[in-house]
Amino acid sequence: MVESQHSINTILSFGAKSVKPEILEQLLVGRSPAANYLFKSVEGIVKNGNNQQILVIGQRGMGKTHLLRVLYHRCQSYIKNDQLVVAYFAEEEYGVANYFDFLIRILYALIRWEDIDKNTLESKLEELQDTNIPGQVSFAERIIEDYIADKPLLILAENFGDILNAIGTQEQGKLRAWMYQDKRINIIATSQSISDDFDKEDRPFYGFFNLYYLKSLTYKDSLLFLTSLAELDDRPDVVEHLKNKGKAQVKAIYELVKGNHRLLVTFYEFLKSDTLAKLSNHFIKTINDLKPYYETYIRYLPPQQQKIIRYIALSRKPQQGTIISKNCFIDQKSLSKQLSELVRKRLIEAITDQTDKRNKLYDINEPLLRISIEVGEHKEGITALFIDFLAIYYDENELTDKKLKFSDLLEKCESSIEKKEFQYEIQAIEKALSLKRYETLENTFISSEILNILFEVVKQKKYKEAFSILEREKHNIDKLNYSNILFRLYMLNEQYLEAKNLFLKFSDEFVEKKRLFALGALSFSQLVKTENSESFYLKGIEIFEKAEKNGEGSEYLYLAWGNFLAQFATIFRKDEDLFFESFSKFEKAIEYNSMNENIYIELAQWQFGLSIRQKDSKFSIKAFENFEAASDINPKNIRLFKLWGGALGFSSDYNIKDDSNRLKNFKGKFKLLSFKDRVSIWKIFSNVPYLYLLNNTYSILKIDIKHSFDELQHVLVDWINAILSSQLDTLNKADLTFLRKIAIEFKDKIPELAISEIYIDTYEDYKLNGNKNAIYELPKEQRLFFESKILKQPEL
Amino acid sequence: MQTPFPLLPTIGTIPENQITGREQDIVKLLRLLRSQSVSVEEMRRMGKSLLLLKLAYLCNSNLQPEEFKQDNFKAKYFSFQGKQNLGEVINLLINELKDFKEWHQIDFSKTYNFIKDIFSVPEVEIGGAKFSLNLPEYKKSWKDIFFKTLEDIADTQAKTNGKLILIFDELPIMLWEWYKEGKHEEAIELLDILRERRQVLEKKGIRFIYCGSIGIKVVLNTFRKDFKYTGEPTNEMEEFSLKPFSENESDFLCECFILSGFNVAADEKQLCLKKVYGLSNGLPFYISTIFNLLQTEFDYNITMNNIEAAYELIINDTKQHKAFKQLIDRLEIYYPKDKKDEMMQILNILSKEDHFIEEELLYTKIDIDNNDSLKQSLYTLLSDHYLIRQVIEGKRYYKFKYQIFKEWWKVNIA
Repeated sequence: MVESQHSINTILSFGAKSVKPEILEQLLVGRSPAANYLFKSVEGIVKNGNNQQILVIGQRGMGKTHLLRVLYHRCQSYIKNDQLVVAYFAEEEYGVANYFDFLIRILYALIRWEDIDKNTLESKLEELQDTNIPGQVSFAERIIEDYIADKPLLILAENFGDILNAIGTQEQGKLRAWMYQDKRINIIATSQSISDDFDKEDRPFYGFFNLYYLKSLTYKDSLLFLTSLAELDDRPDVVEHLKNKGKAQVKAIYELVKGNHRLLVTFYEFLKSDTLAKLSNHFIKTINDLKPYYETYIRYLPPQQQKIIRYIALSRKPQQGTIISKNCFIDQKSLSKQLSELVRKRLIEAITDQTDKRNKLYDINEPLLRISIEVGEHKEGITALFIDFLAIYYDENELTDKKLKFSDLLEKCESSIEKKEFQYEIQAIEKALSLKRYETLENTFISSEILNILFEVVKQKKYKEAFSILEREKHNIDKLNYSNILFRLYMLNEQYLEAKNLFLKFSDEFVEKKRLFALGALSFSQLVKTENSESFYLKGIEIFEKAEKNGEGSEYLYLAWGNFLAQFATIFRKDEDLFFESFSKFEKAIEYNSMNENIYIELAQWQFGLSIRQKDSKFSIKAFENFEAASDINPKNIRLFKLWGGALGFSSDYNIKDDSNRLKNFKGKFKLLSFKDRVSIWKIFSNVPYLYLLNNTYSILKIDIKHSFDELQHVLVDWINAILSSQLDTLNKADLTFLRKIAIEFKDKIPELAISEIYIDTYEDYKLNGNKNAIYELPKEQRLFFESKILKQPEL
Repeated sequence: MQTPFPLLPTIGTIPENQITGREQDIVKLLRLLRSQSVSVEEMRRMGKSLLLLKLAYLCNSNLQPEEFKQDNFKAKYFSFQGKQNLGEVINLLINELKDFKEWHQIDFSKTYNFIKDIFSVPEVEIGGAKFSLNLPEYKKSWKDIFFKTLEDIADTQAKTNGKLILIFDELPIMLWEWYKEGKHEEAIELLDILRERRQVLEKKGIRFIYCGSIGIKVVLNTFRKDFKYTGEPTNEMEEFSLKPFSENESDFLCECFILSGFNVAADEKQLCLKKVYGLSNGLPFYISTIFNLLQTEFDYNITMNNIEAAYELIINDTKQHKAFKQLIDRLEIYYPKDKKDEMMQILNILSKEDHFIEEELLYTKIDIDNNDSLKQSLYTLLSDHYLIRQVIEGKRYYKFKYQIFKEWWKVNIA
């Protein structure tokens, strides 16, 4: 090896190729799997006699050079043992115009790195120079073949995409042909992207390489990488800093450099010197260090593309194609070609214009690229950039904190020069603070605009549209807000299962912050009919409790909670305590809003249920009181009367102590309902065997039937059949006499009641008189009905 | 019975002694080559070149199957890719055949004298690096020199009582490139020699294998259309189509890959191999790609889940689409736009069908008025290896040749 090797300082100036291999190995953070994979491939070449062609793809600064350097170092023992020949190309192989040039580069690489054979190779090269032109290619091939003899050749080349592009398709074909004819040629190369030369069917190297994509470092890797740099740099103070407060700064740096190795190295310098004094000096230094790096990004671009980049960078915000075209004096047709080229090179990004979805806006892809371009161009000098940077790098609290500290320093400072400098820092921080506040406002504005639109749509219950708006604007809303809105939309659209599942994915921290426990609990309470495992209930209860703890108590929370507990107690036959707990939640709900009749209705329902379970009138009394209370609040609640009437019916069947006032109160309120509402309630009553209720409400029903015969003619037939069919209790003679009376009264107008009368007679004969043959008096179809529906005998 | 050996997944070159599978294909090829020349056509990345390299390796190392020992086959592989004119082709032939002198003592003196007589170039050195044919004024005689070179080889061959297989890999693509550069006359010259003189050369024991990812027919059709070319240079040549690996071949390749450092639970291995075979359709490119992904994305762990996940990447991740993109590229590059659009439509419909679909039914589902044109496009897709065909009771039924291509087309194009 002839290149000299340097210490950590070299990597700090991006010279991976000449840094000591041990240092590079130490800095392989996040790239070890890649290095191991490549070396394993080399082992396969040497030990198994395999061939390998691998292309490592990664953007500028992602550590490709570093990786090849490490690989080259790891190959040393094979090279020394004559098991492998490596042609390690220079990072930028300029001027490779054809296949022959490529062969020459192999020879140059061998001469550069193989000390022992240098002279032999050089004399061969001279011989080649003397060969006539047509024979040079095959002669060069032969020199290489003779040199490697039976050993495998490994070509390590960077920017291989550029090399292929430069030599063109036909010459690539020659290279490929050579690789097929001379069996032991291996290439491990890097490229910034996959160009057509690797990707198009008519190109020789189409689908030829195993691809390995380098990924950006994660935040964790970035922190580790910077820590390794600090360790190698012998800076225990920085290492310590990175374990504590520095973590947040690395997060900010990470946001800026997106896990790019080379940029992390630059920001290491910034981090290292980020003491209190004079941030601006370090910033200027960092930017100046970065400038040449970014200059290489644009230096070799065609002039039109340079113009576009410069214009967008200096505009400082995304620009429309038409505006770019106008300002850069480029016609639309050429512009769209150049823009798509720049997008492909990942120098700019295309964003959909929110004001007109058909349009695209273009912005510089990396914030630091913009900053670097602005240096030297901006009329305010570097100050504006510094302010920008501060706003990106620190959060509002940190900036305020820094401002206070600089103000302290200013007070204590005596030197007038230093005073000026501190004043500059303070002013810059103040401007950064106001910029930050403006940005926050702007973001809120964008989000609230979207929310307004959503709100309007939701108000009209167009949930489907709301979902599609939310999906479309996803990128304008931060992820958590998006989930929050989505969750709420699920709830509104009664997609409780989706809501619950999404809710369970939220972190407690988020739910707490956004006060979503109550809604989450509500999603559980809405799913009791479909999900009823014990664990489901226990989880639900846990969320209700968290909601209460998080101060999300409301009448709705306690109402839902009460219902949830009562449901749980009923399904799993829990003891009364759980019912009592449920009732206490309803009471709490009433404390929040004593004028919500639904709370009373729900509570009354569960109280009545418990009294039936206990066969005790204690809770039924409370239940009826609550029904009455609900009717006082809203005397027109149909659901209330259905449930209240039902409870009355049940109370006689379950021998719950009668209270004549109950009926009186019920009937009094029931009469006050509109005719239409009563009709709907009669229809419900007629399907259940409430003889007691029929008996006690018949006077009202009679009037209603007379009032509107058409609507209620089936109610009596159905109701009598339902009562006869009830298996709860055998009807007595008096009951049947009452029913018969009704049938006779209306059978002229409702012929079906004549049949009902026959059923009543048959019932009496069969059940009360024990005449089992009574059913044979019925015509066959009536007998079958009587047997299956009233006697409930299985059909034959 | 071969024993598996460690082999790293690769989709590039493989040393000739490590190319696995294809034994049956080689037997079939050699049987054909006893009596005639052969044309091998398939899409790219199907393993054509590796098959031919293996064929040459077996013949030249006396490792050919027992039934061919008496035939005394020798073979020479030439890749014509990137050769820009007949001069370069001849140069390649002569340079590469130098190795054969040891076996056959090919005497190039006739050619040498011939060139010397015509051009009076005293310094020409046949078989060495100084062989020069690139001066424009010599162009008119390349045709003769080319034949002369082949004749030299054939004359020597005739004495050996054996057969010499000359494998011209990427011949059609080379001709296509010449055509694109306006050098069709040269291309036609080469085709003419191959047409007029092949039988003479074959009598002396020379066999040709033309191989290419675009069919030689595509080139000939273009020449016929554009230059009224009427030659039939591939007449009487048997077409040989490459099949996917059999399950045994696929298993063997997987076993080799596994030995290069993969982890697999012993009780799951057979299932995994079956899965790889099923998902890859036995195409060695995809077997290798699955293993490459297993090493780079799944830390060398072979499990049923990882194999499925790798397959998902192949189908869904655009970074893995390069070998599929040829399905579109080929249509764009080698056919006029209207034909391309028509074929795209056909493939869109077929990608959504799980079974063979009848030609007439397809006609009703497609926005192509001209039934003849549809038939022609179907035939092109069939001969270009996109589709396979069944004929039942005189009716033609088509479907995608490979399930993996169908899946990709359905997910990404249709």
